[in-house]
Amino acid sequence: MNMKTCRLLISASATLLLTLPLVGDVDAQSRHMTPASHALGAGGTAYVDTYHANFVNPANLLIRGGDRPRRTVGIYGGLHMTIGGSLANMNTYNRYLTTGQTIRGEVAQDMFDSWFGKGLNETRSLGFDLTHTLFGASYRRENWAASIAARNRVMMSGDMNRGMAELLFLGLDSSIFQTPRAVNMSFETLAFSELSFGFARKMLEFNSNSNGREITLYAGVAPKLLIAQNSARFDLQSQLTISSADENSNSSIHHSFVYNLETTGELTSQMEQYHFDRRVQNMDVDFDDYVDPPAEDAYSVKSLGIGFDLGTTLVMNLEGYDLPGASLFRGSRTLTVGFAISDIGALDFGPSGGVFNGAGELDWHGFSYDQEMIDEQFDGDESLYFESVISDSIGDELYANFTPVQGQGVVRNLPTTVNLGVHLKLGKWGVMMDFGKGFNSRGVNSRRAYLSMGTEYRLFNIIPLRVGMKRGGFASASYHAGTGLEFRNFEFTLSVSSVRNSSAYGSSGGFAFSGLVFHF
Amino acid sequence: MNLFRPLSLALLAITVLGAACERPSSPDFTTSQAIEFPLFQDRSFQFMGSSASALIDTTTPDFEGLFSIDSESFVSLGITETFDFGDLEDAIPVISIDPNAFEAAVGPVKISNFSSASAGGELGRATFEQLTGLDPALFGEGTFVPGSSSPWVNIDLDTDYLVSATIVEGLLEIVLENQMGLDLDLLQLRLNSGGLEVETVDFTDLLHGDVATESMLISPGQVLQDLNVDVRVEWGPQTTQADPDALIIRDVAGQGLTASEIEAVVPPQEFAISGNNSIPADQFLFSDPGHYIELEEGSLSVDQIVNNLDLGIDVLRISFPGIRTAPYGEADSLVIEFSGPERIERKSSNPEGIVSDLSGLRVYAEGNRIDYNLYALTEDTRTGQGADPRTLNQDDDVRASIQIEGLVLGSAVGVIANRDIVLNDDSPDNGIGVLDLMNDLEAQIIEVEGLNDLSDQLEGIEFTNARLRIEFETNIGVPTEVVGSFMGVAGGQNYFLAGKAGENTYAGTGNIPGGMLFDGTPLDSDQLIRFDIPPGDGTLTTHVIEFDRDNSTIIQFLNRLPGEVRFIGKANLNSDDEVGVIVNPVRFEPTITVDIPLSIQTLTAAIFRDTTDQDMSDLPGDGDDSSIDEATLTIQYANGFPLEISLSFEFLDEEGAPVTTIPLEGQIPIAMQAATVSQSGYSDGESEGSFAVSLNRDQLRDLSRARSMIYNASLMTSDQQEVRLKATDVVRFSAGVKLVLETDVK
Repeated sequence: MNMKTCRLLISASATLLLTLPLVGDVDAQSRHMTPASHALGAGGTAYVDTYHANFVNPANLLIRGGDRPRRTVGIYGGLHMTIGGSLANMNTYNRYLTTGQTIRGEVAQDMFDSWFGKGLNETRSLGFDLTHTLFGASYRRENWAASIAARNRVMMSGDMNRGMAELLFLGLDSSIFQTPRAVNMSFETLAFSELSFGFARKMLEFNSNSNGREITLYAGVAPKLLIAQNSARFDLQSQLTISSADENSNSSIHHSFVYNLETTGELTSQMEQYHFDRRVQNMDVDFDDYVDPPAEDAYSVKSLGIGFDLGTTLVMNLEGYDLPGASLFRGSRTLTVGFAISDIGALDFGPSGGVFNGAGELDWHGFSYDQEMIDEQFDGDESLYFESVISDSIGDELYANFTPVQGQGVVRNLPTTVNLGVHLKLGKWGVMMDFGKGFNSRGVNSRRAYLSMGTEYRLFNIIPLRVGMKRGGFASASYHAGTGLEFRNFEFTLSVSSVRNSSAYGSSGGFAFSGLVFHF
Repeated sequence: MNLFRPLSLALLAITVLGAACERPSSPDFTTSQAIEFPLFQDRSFQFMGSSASALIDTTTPDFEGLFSIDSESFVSLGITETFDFGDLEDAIPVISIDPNAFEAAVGPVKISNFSSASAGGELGRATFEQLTGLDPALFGEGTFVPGSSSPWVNIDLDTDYLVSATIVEGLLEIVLENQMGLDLDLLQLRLNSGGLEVETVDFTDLLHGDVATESMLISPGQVLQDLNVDVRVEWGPQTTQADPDALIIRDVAGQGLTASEIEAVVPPQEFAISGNNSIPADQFLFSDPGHYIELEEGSLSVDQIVNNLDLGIDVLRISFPGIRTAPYGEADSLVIEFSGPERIERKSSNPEGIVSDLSGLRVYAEGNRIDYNLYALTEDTRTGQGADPRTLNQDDDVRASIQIEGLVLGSAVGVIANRDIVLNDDSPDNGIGVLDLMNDLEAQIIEVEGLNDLSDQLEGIEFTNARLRIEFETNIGVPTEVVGSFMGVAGGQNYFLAGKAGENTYAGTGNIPGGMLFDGTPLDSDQLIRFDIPPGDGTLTTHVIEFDRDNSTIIQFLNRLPGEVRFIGKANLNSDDEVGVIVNPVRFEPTITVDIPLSIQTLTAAIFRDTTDQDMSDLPGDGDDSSIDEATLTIQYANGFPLEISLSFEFLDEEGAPVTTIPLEGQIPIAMQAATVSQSGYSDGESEGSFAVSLNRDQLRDLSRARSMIYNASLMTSDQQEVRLKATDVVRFSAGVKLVLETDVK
């Protein structure tokens, strides 16, 4: 790499860092984060090393050979949480819900325009991603490296459309729903664990000149054992119409709906048993009497699977390049470019998974009195009859009238992403940039690309000062910062992130904590 | 290395970054949720039925049995209650007969025989020699005897029965036989009582062998004792026809001979008397021989017997011609007899009496008098152990007491005395024969909870065809007039049912019996009603008396829907002293039926008003984060009732103070038009329409303080015409509500 190339890279990094806030919204990805990578804008494809690299870019197990000891052990090896999304629109919240306004009429429509946009069928989402690294260990040799790491992951995501939000805020308002309106929502949870085994190898190395400047190419792969624990998904697509009462007719509510419900574990058995008793055996049973999964159902092992992460990293030693201002950055100078595909694989919950579909139409014109039935079945108690209509006729017979889908199990693809990252390190200073794209929308993952950039300065070479930002993602542009202590043999760092202006795609927040990590 | 400074810088940088980021402020907004949903559709309320969806649920305890439906579903409100008057004991004549004592004197004592040898015997004789002075041995049969006469020859009579007797009257008969062997031309006989001549009698032409009888009248007061006779004979010349013997006294007897005092062996003495017992006529009058009372209970006793005679009484028979056993002919009279083991010993007192059960017997007592006859037969002292002389006086008597007591009338035919009887229990607290409507011990009280509730709730309605029927079974067999007072209590007010002047239900001043009071004040004609009970034949007969709008104030009375009805009454029996029948017990068991066909008419709006608990504290009120900004209840109705119905509601707080009203003054009334009505007054269609009830924010806020609700239903018949309600009349509602719920979030 010549000077021109190096300048070009540095210029590009600075330009990206400065112009990233101006870039249009892109979604974040569900990525493994260390406090460092999180602080640098939630990237890390060319940055994250040690056992964390298993989940980001296994090729990175071999980078930073000059900066770290060969061995790294993490006890309680890291925690990262991100929550947010376009549904959590802090800007809209602050403008409309903290200023004493009454949410109705034009104010309400302005708020929903701000929140969902002007389209009546716009949807906003909210995601949550929690990663807890239980432990990790890595060992690095000159040409290869290996590691092992285990982590728990909990992902939640949901969305609702404007119709649903208006229903929740404005109620059964015939002026809103006088014409058919979509009222949709979905919600998904996924909890699983991973035991990852990483291996990286130097693939290629060549010197560019006699000064010993070199370029090294690493490749790594990290197969992992997937331990499925729990997942549930509910997806409702519906249309609501409310007609107002007039002189000649009563008001009415029409709600047509289709939903899909996926469950795992004991809940699946309970749902199937309810369906069998109620629909096949025609027993007079209540849904509530069946659905009561035990607490351990949330974390008990349902099935095992295989997944893997892989990546390649190119490290270019910049020693010997005459970089502008390079004298300001004493120490090693490298440019690292990483490419990784993370979270390849899927969780198949097998027999414990169940898929249920339901559809129907509620055409509600009020309670129809069948006095004879009230007298005979409810001993004349109208309130019991009303309860029965609501819980049985509407609840069990209509909304809970689902059908198990035979031959279709619950399979959750991992939140696969493809990422490209660059890290320029000039002594104590460094700048990092990532670009990526997800293949599904699980947790805070997104199919839409993201761009993140950050920079760090290692004060006294032990106190990292890191800032970064990320455009788009599951929320609006977020800003990140982190610090801590990074000694040669021990590190303890943390990071936080937040959003400055959530008006476009909502707010988000996150933090990461390194745990106790030892290098030796 | 001093790490504090760099670390501080790092944390400061993070803080600055955080401050630059967006942070949520405290929430401060108000949600305004418009909630509009249909409550119910075609909710039907049938006018009446056996379910909760009926406005009048006939299965509720208050209304059970209160309403009836005819074949055309026409509804009547009916109450049937039976008054428990018990048996009208006062209507039964009370018959009492004073005890009666009789004294039966034996009277003059009959003397028939004077000697125990009189029947074919020989009381004495005078021989041939005594009378002729001739030796009979010389004048055997066929011997001639020259004519001559004899001197007086005394013959002592063997009269062992007689000690002495003072004769009242009668004849003494002497029987003698001529065994002289001669025919006597004359025989003179002189009866002597001791040494005193009593009477002389001649026998003529007394042939040999003849037995001749002659009587002599004994003078009253003649004392007969130591009887003997002197005889003298005359005969002509003749041949003796047999060996001469004697002149023999065969018998001395009395013919109708009685003595006022006697010491003798006497034959049986018979004597008899008649008498009667009186029945007071103040209760019952036997004005005809056919009138009688049939006794359910009673007894006749003859006791306190005293026999002053020195003779035992073999038979003492008392007969009562007017007291008869079935079949009640004259031959069936009651006879009581002391004889046999019950014979009455001489000179005895207080022997065991005889009690005769009179149950089932009839008493015929024309003129209210019960006759009796007594017959006595004494012992015959000539025979048996009694053959000893007894001393008797004609005034010696037998005495006894006759008591007829414990008479309970079973039935009677005759003239039952006119009088008033009370129909109710007669408490002595306010005097016997005085009835007071307000005396719970006396008044018959009907309480109808269903009506009580209705009367508290409904006013201003007129039931156009209400009736009150009194159906009763009675066996009263005399004309009876009942005057009573029905007092209804509704809403704390008292109302009276009265007959209309000019109708026979009207209790005019002259018809009002005394002792009928309302709280101490005599009732007057406006508070009383009367009816007649026609006389029957003593068997139970059903009668129906009906008070309707033509003959009484029943409409005004029942329009009040009294939840309590009190009744007192008196009956006047047989005011014209007619012959009638009375049977014990006298039954009068009236069943009062109030029949209110729901054909109604309103000249002004009738108001149905009720108060219900309505705790609305769950509604948001002052100080709550939530409030209902407005609420609108929209109701479509199809009114099948022939009534225009306007509704209003008044909400009260826990102290009963008004909170708010719906609708507010000046707002459009909540009203439902009446259904169309056929000529018969029935609803023949439905009137459809809608109304909306809107509540503003202040009302809704105030409603949270409401704890009770008064609802007023104003009912109007179309064009003030009479309409009729059917059980199947239905009003249908569909309702929806729209609420604007505001919730402060801070």
